[in-house]
Amino acid sequence: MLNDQQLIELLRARDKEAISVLYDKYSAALYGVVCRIVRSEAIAQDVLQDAFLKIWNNATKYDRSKGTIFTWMLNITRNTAIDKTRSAHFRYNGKIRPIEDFVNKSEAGLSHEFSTNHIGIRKKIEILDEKYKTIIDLVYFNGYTQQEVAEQLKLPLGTVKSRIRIALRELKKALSDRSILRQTST
Amino acid sequence: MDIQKFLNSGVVEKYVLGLADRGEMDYVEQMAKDYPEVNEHICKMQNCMEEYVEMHAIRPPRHLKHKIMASLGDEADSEHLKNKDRAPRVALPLVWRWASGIAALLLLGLGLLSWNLYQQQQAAQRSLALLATQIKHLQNDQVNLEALNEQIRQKYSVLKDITTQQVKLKGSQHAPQALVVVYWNPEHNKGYLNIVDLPQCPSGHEYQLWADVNGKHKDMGVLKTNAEGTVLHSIPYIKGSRGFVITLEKEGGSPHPTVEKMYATGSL
Repeated sequence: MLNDQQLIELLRARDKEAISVLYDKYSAALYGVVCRIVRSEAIAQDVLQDAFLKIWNNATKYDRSKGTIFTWMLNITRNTAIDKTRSAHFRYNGKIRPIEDFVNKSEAGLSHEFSTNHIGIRKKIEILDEKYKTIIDLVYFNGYTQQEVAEQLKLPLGTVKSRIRIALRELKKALSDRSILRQTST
Repeated sequence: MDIQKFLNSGVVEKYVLGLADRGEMDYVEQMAKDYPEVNEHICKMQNCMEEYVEMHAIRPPRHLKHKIMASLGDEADSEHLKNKDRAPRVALPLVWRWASGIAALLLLGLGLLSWNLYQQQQAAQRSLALLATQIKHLQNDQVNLEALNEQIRQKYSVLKDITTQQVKLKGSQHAPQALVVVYWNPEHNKGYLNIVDLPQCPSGHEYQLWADVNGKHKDMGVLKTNAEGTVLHSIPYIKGSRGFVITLEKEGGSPHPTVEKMYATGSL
């Protein structure tokens, strides 16, 4: 099994095997992000293809000091998907409803859930408090700006900013809580 | 430069969530280059987002990989085709021109028909793949839920079991207010840990948990930070344990406990 460092070298040498392995390793995660952003399985497939083409063509631009190859691929894929939702074609495509339609606000005004029903997947991830999850998801999966989040949730901008900070801290905590002991390294 | 102020400013979170503009990105990347602790902080957050994204994974339809792999080679192939010389044209008698015209029309018709069929077949295949993915996800969810349920059931049964002993690890002079509770069940060979109160680790150090077996300290692992809360964490069961000790050790843990740095202790 190739590690990420070897994969990067292969990718830079324009070896298709690298893309094949990266695809097997990360396509499901990337596709999950794209589906949530573009909300159409057919468009998501095009976007994923564009993203992999960019990954293939821009391998030399990957800078290890800025994060893992997975994070780099995530950024490329997420930006490709968000660009797609901002393109004129996407806006007028009858199949697509505006993102706002997908945000179901409950009476409390905060709890919200993605209805990704049209692509058939409805998965609730309950590791975060709903109010933090909502914010992370709106920003990361819907490409909302802080201002848009504030308008959507009818919250002051300052509250949104501080919740974004707390949300990531809570996420970090929730993830490390899942297991408490690890092997000693000595 | 006040690092803490920078880390608390919220710009790092914006960067990790893809909210930062070009200027902010350059700023954060420069800070990460200049200060290793900033870099480490960002990496940790990025890893969190990676994990979070993986929880939302959706398997793409099977045919997509092939399509994507094939698309990578397109540029080279089209270049190749452009350079190919075209075959010279040959003049044909009139009747043959008519015949070839009709044949071409027929061929075109057939082509359109098969293209149409091909499209339909592709669509059917896509929805089939989608259904298969959905079923797989549902199955996964069910397995996960079952596993979670089983875990909770086991923990609950250990807690209510009368053979479960509660061991309070009380703080030493280093941390008089510290309190950690171990639930120990020799009947079912299970152990759980609940951190009620433990002071923040000094940087470069970690807490390590030890079992006291006949006066000897057996390593049980290093405690992850941020694990405080009401959650019960499963810990390895070591036969013959008479008590438990938490010491402060250098990052990575140590093979033997540093007795002077004993933070909490309790016996069965």
